[in-house]
Amino acid sequence: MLIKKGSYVRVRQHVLLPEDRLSYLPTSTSNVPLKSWTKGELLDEAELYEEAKIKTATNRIVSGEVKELEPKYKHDFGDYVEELHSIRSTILKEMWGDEDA
Amino acid sequence: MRKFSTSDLDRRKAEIIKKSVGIDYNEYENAGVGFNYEGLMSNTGYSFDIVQAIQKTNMVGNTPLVELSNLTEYARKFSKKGYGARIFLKDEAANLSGSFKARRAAVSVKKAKDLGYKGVIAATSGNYGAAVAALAAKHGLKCIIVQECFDSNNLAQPEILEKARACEAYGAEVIQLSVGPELFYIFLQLLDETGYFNASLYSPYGIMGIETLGYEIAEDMKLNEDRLPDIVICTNAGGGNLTGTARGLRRAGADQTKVYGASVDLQGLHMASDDDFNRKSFTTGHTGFGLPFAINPDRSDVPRSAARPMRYMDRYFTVNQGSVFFITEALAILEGMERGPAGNTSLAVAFKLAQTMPKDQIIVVQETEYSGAGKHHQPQLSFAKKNGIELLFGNPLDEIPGKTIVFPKSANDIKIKEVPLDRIRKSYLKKYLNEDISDEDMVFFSEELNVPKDKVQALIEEVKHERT
Repeated sequence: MLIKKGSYVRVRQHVLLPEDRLSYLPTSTSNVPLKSWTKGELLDEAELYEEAKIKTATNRIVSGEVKELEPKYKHDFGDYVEELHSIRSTILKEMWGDEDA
Repeated sequence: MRKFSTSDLDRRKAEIIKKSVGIDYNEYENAGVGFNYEGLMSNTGYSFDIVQAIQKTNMVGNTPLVELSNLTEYARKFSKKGYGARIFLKDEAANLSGSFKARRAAVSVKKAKDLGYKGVIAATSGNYGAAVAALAAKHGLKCIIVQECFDSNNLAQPEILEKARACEAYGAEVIQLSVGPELFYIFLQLLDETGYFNASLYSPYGIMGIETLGYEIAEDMKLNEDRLPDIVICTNAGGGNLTGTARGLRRAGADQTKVYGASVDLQGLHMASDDDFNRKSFTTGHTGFGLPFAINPDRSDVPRSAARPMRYMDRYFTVNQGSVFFITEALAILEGMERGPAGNTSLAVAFKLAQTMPKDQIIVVQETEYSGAGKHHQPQLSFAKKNGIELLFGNPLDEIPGKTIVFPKSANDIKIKEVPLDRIRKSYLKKYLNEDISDEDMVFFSEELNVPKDKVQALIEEVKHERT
């Protein structure tokens, strides 16, 4: 997919390969690369998942693999958690008694 | 790519830090192991009055101190007759950007502006990022926030994602990293590249900013209750919250008020582990920061941290994740306050402690934080479940961080544990066993650990004995 110049994208860089990581880390960390993500405007048109340069909110020029066009905020209030529902009932019952719970 | 530990960056780190905070820490070093803490704190160029004025013009501070009458009543149901202290809460969510961290950011960002820096940088996955970003926006400065955010499966804690969104809402550039302490080098690289100000959480500015919080509590209590609180309890991570609050209380003459710390118990989880990163349900206010920063405050991003909690802490408690979630729900359902969850750590401990205190005593919980998508107990618990954490009801002390979250079946079952301060003091002193300890050093230790010199000596002897 070709993305237009000026589009708002998220890019990813590999900052460190596993062999370049600090020596004292737990293996689950030292076995994987250190990666970095940031967002900005594409300086030239680019293909998704290819290397490109962006200008960030502080006007820095950063290059990395284009991972996402117009990145969306995906966090939310989560799924229903039945344990919380049960805690709520307990609190109301202990505080106000059975009838008003 | 090359290793940071052997890089030019590593060799220049002292120089980069000095340039980015505008403080020459060498000026405050003593001949021995210590340094002139009060000298560092008093040379910031801002008096307490100026700090108050800076905060006032930035919609920071003077937050409401509210009595939690329903939670107090709830605690009294499990107290013996005549017991159940009144619980008050300082609603710090009312600050610009939604947490007490705005107090720290207000002073740091003002300093950056006064010194002529074009922008500010902070390394934080927490509320401090949003605070720095909001204040930078107000001062017309650029802002970069560096977050430790994703594990190697590209999964992130909902509350960290929300904080990234908030920072971007205030115009900041957010750099999100996968797990690892090399974040510090990226941070250095950015300071070096941009020449921006290091809005460190641990600079004197960051701590002075919180002194107003303790001061306001004391003044508010004098005005409305005609007395000072018996206990002020602070959620403790890097130690700045507790340090600044205690200093502010003393400034207002509340030197009889006890200052307690509270952290979520995450012992057993490794803070630099990619595996463990998303197995915790609290990203701050936990023992993974609280204990190491109490033992070694200077492990921060400046040569000498101004956050020195052991100078001020009277007692230190831990509480499990399930109990904090329980009390977060109680705060919403009984007081109409949807806040936290991490900021409610000290509330969970206060709820338990209040039951051991006479009815006419007062315990103040000194912070709340805003709540919203991601930053709420439901998404945190929903995320925990997806990561294979088992949610159980039972004895909170049976919780195994990273494996289970145990909720109390009743508010009566909330449990807290006390961390003996001498254990922390001994760990602190262990670092210096091979040094020649001078008289001046002993004075420094005595101040650092808030015990007389003969007690420091006794603790050193104990550490030596335990070693052999």
